[in-house]
Amino acid sequence: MADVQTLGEFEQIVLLAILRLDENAYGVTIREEIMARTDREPSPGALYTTLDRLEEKGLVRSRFGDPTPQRGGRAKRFFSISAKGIESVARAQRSYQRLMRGLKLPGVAHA
Amino acid sequence: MRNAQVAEWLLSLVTTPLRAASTVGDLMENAARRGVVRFWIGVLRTAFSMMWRDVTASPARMARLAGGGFIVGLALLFVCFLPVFPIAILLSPAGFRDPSAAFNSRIFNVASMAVILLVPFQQGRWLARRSPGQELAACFALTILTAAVDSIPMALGLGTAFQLMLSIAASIPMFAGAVWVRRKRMTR
Repeated sequence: MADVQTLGEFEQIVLLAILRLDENAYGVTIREEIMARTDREPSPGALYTTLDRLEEKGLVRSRFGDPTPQRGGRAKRFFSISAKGIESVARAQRSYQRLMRGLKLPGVAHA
Repeated sequence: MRNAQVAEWLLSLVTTPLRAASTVGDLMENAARRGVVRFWIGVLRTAFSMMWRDVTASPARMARLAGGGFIVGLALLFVCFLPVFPIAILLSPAGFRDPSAAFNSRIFNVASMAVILLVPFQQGRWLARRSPGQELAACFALTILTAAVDSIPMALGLGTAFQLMLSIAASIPMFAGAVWVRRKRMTR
């Protein structure tokens, strides 16, 4: 447990998007998933630096796919979440849930 | 897409060549829907973000490098300008009879310009050799330091914003020096 990393909000969003995409998580799909689910449009710079940072922390792994002609022969970099990443994001989400439990937010039907 | 190689080259200055290629591939996929302008905005923002990440990842080290680079620059300016004055006076038609005339001569202007370009270039090489993998980040840290130092006269009402912009633009040869070292390192 001591090895579990503290995560920022955007890091959690990226990790959850990778989890949702499963085998097809690479730059373009991760960004689209974030846009579709959060109505936020992350800049490519923010996304790639976050992915690099998560990999340095050991929370995600990346591998290069085969080069494709649609991308001018450039390979996709696929991401997958590590066990440590899953534990970190689960812990962060549990913290949010504990904080929310029992709260009544004015103007919000279900907190 | 045309110029995708240029984008790849640009990103390879701040990340590994494989990652640069895959990032450009992603941005090309986006460009098919969003256009070439968004592609280049994406390339530039990504390159800047990666450079900034390197600066903020180890701020103390970057500050040390910037400080060292600043001192090296001052020392190089001093050493390089020392021979410029006697040479300009020697080559001036008035010679030692009127040394002040030499400072308006073409040879003095050309030599000064050469020094002004050469010193930051060497500064960039010096920084890049000491920051493998983060060559441009070290130069960026020094650019911030230089801008901070140069903004002091402006704050005191002794300089203008244009002069500050000129001093920032003068760091372009420094980045060229750092790119020079990085390219050599990558081809090894």
